[in-house]
Amino acid sequence: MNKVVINIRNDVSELHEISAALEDVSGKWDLSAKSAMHINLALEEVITNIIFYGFNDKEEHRISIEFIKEKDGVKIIITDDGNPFDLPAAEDFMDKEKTSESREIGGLGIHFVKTLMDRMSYKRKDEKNILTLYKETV
Amino acid sequence: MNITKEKKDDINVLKIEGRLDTTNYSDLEDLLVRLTENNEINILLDLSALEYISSSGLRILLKYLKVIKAAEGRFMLCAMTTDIREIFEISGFVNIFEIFEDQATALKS
Repeated sequence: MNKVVINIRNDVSELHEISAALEDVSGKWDLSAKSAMHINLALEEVITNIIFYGFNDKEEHRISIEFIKEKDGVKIIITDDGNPFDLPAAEDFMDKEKTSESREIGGLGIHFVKTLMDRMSYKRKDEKNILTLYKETV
Repeated sequence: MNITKEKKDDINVLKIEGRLDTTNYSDLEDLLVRLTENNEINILLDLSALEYISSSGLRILLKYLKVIKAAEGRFMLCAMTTDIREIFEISGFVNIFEIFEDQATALKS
């Protein structure tokens, strides 16, 4: 089986579903603990961002996460029906001119995603956000 | 996540086991609030059994580093695994925190 799909509610208590799914695919697909952790970190950032900023109502929404095994890595497709993404630039975060004490922490999440994943793409289709992450594992 | 607290001399050693993430960072924050409010401002985090830390966890560490520094205390980290250290490197936090090999080295410093 080269694909695992989970469907979670827009609630942070659902984050453990992601780690459980990753544990599952790590065993099946022989992912290293490090690769699994990197994917988990990137997903936690993306999903919490969707949960906290993606929806204007108080309704329940579903977020779909597909893990697909490919020849040299894992593709992860996240689909939600929230507001369109506004992916901020992470470059400012690592600005060496800023001292540690004044460094803004807000960009850390997106910096993680960009650093830990090898590729990333985004499209808006049929009122849905489709974010694709790719982690090379060889 | 499980946190155990032990006092060694005037330093509170907190050993964090498991995962520190968006779902549970407030448990660590609650403990750090209690300690700093009681003027327990010398804290060493033993991260030898920490398996995962997300940006929510890192934010709490940075927040309390600032609180403790302002109170002229010390907030130290020790014994992180290679994978956890890599996350600290990516976040730039290795240059911000005092990080030691193990508890003994930190306590002697």
